[in-house]
Amino acid sequence: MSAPDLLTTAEGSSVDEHGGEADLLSLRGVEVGYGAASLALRGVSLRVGPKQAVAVLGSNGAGKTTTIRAASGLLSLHGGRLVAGDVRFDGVDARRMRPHQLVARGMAQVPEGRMVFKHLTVEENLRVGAATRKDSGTAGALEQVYELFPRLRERKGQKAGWMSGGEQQMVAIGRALMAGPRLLLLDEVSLGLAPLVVEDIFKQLAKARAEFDLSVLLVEQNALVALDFADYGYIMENGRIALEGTSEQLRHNPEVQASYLGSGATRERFGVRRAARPRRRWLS
Amino acid sequence: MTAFIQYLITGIAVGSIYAIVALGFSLVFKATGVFNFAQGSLMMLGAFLAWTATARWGLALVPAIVLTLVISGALGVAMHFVVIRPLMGNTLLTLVMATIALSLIISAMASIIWGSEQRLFPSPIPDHVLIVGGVRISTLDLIVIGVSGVCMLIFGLFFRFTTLGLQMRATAENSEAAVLSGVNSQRVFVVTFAVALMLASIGGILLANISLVSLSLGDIGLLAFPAVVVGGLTSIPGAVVGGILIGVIEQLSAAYISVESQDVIVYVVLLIVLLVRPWGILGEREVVRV
Amino acid sequence: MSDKKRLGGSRLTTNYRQDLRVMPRGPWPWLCLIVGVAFLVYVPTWVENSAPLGIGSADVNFALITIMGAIALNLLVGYTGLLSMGHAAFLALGAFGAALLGVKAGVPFWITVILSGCMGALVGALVGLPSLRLRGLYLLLSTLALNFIALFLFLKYQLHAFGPAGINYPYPSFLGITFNNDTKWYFLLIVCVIGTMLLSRNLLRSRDGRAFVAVRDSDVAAGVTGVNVAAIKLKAFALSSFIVAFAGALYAYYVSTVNQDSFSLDQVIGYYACVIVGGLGSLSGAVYGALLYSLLPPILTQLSNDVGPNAPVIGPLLAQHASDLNLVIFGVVVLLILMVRPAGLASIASSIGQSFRRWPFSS
Repeated sequence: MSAPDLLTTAEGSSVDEHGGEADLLSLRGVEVGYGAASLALRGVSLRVGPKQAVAVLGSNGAGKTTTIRAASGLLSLHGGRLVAGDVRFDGVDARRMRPHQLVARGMAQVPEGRMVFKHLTVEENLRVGAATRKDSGTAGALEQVYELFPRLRERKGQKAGWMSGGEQQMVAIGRALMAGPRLLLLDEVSLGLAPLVVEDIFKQLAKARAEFDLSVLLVEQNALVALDFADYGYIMENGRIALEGTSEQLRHNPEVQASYLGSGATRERFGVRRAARPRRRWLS
Repeated sequence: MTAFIQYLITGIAVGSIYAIVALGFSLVFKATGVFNFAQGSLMMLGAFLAWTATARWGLALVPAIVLTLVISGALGVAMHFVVIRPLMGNTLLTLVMATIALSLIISAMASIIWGSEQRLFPSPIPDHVLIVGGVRISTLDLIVIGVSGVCMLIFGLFFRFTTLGLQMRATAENSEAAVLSGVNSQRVFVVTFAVALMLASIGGILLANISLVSLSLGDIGLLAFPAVVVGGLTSIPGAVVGGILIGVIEQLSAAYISVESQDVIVYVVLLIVLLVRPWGILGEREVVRV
Repeated sequence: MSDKKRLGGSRLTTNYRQDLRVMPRGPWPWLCLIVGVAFLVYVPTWVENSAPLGIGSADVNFALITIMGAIALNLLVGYTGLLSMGHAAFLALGAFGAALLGVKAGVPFWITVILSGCMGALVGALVGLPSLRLRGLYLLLSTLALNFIALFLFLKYQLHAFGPAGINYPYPSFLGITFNNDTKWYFLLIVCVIGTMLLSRNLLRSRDGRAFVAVRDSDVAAGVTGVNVAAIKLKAFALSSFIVAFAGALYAYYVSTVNQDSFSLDQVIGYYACVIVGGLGSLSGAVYGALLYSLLPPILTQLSNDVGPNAPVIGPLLAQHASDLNLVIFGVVVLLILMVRPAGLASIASSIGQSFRRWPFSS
């Protein structure tokens, strides 16, 4: 079941700015449940093409992290299971694959909360990321990551647990890059970081994307930054895709502005507020 | 004073055996979260396997030990696949009972296969007494300390400098992050178990040399748990420190208080540590998310 | 209690009896009760005369004592989720109380046994104090330590007050009957067991009982909803220990001689095996598990007698290593239950019951 695309071309049209035959990652009609409770994802379909950056936006509990888990094979670790739907990565059915197999095929993840190995040094953290590299390319990859994040080179012998949030984020991204991926999954990269740090990181991500020809799927609560970075976006709500479109289109959509970007005509000053306008729910 | 030093050395020898067993145990616990109650019986099994290889099959000491290690490693792999993997992620009680059940099965099968007699370990390890500065030191003790030390060193180097060791450390710290970084967690768990069992076997063989090859080795192995807790359940070096400490406490208690009370004193120490500082000497306080 | 007329004639119920009226079950419960009681009364004669499957009257009595211990453990672990390894120590405490009061001080049997239970409750509450700070694995280890320490102290007492051979208990007498044979003991024990079962069942239906389960599921959440978690944990320990010490005192009198080998860590493990195989958190589970655990050895012995020592493979195995075989079988059973059917024998029993009730529509 596809979302009522208010903004993209008509249903059934195969000529789309977004998506196509050579999709790197595609989810179709994915339904996910945790335990016996109701479904967390109710028919999510999204696509990431080669060298494309796609953002998934939405508020807490909308199902964004679950979507990433469904793509990267980490559902069962959290007690979830794929009830229905298709997940294809690079043309192959990814549903039964174990996470390390997906990493070997070119899908790397920067998890929510960074999850660096606190007791390992920066360099050791990066080396863990090269777990799936069979060749002796680890040294080369390490160099590339240090080029991208010179700060990490400075601190390569230090325990990762002692570093600041922004530095840890670099470690996490670097670790993902060590696997030589073609698709990078970013889960809430901006969480807990100061705005300037966030800007910095996204600049470096843009650089990495250009240098390594990466596709990116990023899950973000910070819609502004995400839409700046990405080419295409999906807005999730209650386990479904509520809206999709190019980042340009989404940025100018008044609903999106009201709900996620906080800009434009409906912005109110802090202080006494008028009664809030009921937000239209696309699907519930 | 000389008596004290003698007891101390014996304590360190016994303690280093505990340390090896505790190390294997701590490894499994950190990597998989499984508290392997069977470690004591596995120690006994290792001793019996080595004894069978030397006394029954007539192998020389070194090949016998190698064979024992290979079999223990294989058993570790089997144990992981048959028992641990299906149960991972379950409640604490489930895992505890599963390993306890394993321990019962192993002890009982050992009793069936080898019977309850106590045997001497036929070993060319020299058991002389050196006198250094008026202190009587048994060469056996020294060799045990030496062998344990070498084992731990090898293990430490493996852990610190190899790729697999790095992956094991990463998995032990945060298994989800390791998995999504591309680490094959299955392989890590299997290797962890195999290594833990091998360590238990080494501990068993060493202990059998100090005392006897008998079913009671398993009970002695039970003391590895206080060792791990005192040293710190969340710390691998803690296991080593805890092991040696417990060994020393045990020997000193036997010498200065009474032989029957040596185990009880260890448990009193365990209790005090649990009440005062549950995360042990080298461990870190755990923050539990509700 | 006036029921449906209250509260403006509404259908709100205020006790279990009213609740049960929703589903009239006719004469069945009463019939089952009568048959059950008749069977229980018949058991001692049946077992004495024909030893079915090799089960003797002593085995039945041991089974009954084990049932009490298993119910007590279920209360602690199954209902409240407190992992305690101290069971053997409390049995020893009961024996100690019986020795101190009954043997040394000559206190009448029934008072001795109850007072031993009370001692158990008191010590249990003390042992429960660490549980307020420690959780899960740490609690397990601390109770393990306490278990060893207590057994050591028991040994000390035994050696000091009685000697290395052990403590001897005379035949107890109660209400003018001297309990000197298995049949008399059977009736005493069956009354105690039924009492314990009723206690356990009613506890779960009470407010405290529900608090126990709440603490098991999430003690922080329980605390937030107003449960006095500390008090509940101590109550659980006290109650469970009362029953165990009570059973321990009975056990001491029953076997007449007790020494340090009577109580061990293996016993604790055995009780855990009972509760797990039977089904954690289930009263009937504790009963099934205890029955299986205590009746398996005599059945195996009978099997080995029947098969004879010359049968291929099983013969000598059963003959010489019966007790080890027991452990192996039970260990395997525990593993199977954990892996295949964690809810235990009780759940198997209830599924069988369900399919009978739904026949011919059972799936």
